[in-house]
This record gives sequence, C-alpha cells and structure tokens, in this order.
Amino acid sequence: MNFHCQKKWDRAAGTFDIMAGRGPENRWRDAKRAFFSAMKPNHRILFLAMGTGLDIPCFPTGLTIDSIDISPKMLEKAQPRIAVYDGQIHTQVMDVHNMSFEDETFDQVFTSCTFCSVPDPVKGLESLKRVLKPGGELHMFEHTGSSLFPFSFMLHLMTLLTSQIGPDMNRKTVTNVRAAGFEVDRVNNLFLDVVKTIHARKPAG
Amino acid sequence: MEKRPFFIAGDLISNAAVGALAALATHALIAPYLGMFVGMVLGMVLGMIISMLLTTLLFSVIWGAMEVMLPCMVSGMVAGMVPAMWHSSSAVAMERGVWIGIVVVLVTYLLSTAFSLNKEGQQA
Repeated sequence: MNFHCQKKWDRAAGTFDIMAGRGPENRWRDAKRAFFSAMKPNHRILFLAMGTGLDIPCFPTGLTIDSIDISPKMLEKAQPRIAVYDGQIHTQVMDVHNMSFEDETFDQVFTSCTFCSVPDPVKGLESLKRVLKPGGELHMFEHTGSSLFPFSFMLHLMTLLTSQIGPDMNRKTVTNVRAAGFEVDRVNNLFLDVVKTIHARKPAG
Repeated sequence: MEKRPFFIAGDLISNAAVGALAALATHALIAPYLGMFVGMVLGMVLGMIISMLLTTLLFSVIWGAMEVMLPCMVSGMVAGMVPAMWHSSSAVAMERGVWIGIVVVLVTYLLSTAFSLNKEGQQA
C-alpha cells in the first residue's frame, strides 16, 4: 500500500465533491453515460477507483460491480451514492499496484480520471492486465497531457502544483496503456487531445 | 465541439473575464518604464496567476475542469502581455482582454473539433 498516496486522497476527500462534483461532472455527464454504457450485464466488472462515487449515477442499472479505491475516506463518502444504486457495488480499500484479486478474474475494467493519480501508471496498468481475462476489455475515461503548445506547457506547469494535492495533469496515458501490453482498439478525443476515452483489450493469446 | 448553451456561455464569460482582469492588472501594476519585453514576461506570469486563481476557485466549479482551465490560462497569458505591447487606457486594455478571451474560446473549439475527428492520431 502506498501510504503517501492514500494520505493525499484521504485529505482530498473532504473537499473533493466541491471541486469536482458540479462543473466537471455536469460537463462530462453525457459523455460518461455513453462511456459507461459499455458495462455489460453478466460480466465481471472492476471499476477503479470509486472516489466519492460521482460516477455512479452514470452507471447502467442492474449490474454487479467490484470497485476499489486507495482512500478509505473517499469510500466512506461514496456510501450514500452506493446505497441508492439500482444494482450491487462491492467496494474494497486496495492499491491498484498490489491488488489481491486472482489472475484473470474480470471481463471488463473501467477507470474514470484515475490514471492521472496512480503513482506508477505502467505498473498499475500491468496489474489491471493481470486481473483481466484474456481478451478482456479496458475502458478508460481520462485526462492526459497534450501534444499541443501552449497547452502542453501549461499542463506541465499545473502539475508542479496539482501533484502535491491531487492528480498529475501531464500523463501520457495512451502510451502507458500500450507499454503495459494492452492492444488499443480506439481513442476518442472529447476535449482537445486532453480529455479522452481509451478502449483497449488484453491480448487473447 | 461544445453545443450546450450553458457551457458555451460559461466558456465565453470565464475567458472574457480572465482576459479583461489580466489586462487590467498588468496595466495597473506593471510600469511602462520596465520596457516591452520585461513587461510582456511579467504580464504573462501575472495573467496566468490570475487565470489559475479564478478558474480553480470559481469558473471550473461551475462550468467544468480542463475545458475551462486550459483556454482561460491561454487567455490570461496573452491578455496579460497586451498592455506591455500597446500602451493605452485601462478601458481599452480591458476591451482587448475581452476580445482575446473570445478569440481563444473560438480557436479552442476549432482545435477540439479537429482532435475529435482524429480518432487514433494522438499519442498523449
């Protein structure tokens, strides 16, 4: 368990919904509903990381979902949203770098603005690959760095500040997904080349 | 490209406000005797600080995260440089800041549309 990371997100839990719960979620709601519509019934689904549960209203109903988060305080905040979900969500405090799930447990893994914060993104993605079944799907809704100046410069600059209290703004997540051994099916840019969905799969062989 | 009126209005208001305030602050705080180059650099830094404060504490809470922060930082940066390039009254500096904010929003929308059409082309 990365206790430094856990402490950072435990601290952020108190104000997380104020910063992220209105503007960003309202802006992304339609895109997130479309993104999470790929969750399939009768599939074993892992959602990483639950946070305060802001994404739950965008989940299709009637599913059974396993979810982890490194922060117990975040999961505590998520409980009211989990309670009203029309389906089942099982949460555990767990570090994505060291998950206790068996190999090849899940059919689908979903992430939402998560890999801006995972301390070792390639190792974290390799862990997700381990728990996915061969041919299993990885669906990511992420913000990343940009290839375009001046946005690239600004995202590097912002990361100097934001990484102390929350996420990095300059991650190369598509590159990291490939580096972890996934096959990328498609990338959809939602805002510039910064906010995007990434759809990949674990090689079947 | 963003099509919802609430967010289009938000983008325009936030960028115009950041542009106007960045230009006004540079006009008021950075003395002309510093010269154009130093004035532009200081104005750029001041504009970015103003944009980060306004977007983090206010605009992004209402209208969104990256979609608000990134264009506003460009608006603040460019608008902060303007008074060092063209000395004028505070009202004219603010008006230029507003127009810079509006142009930045339009350019961002065009770039975003171009990226959205490029499904596999980016490697961020």
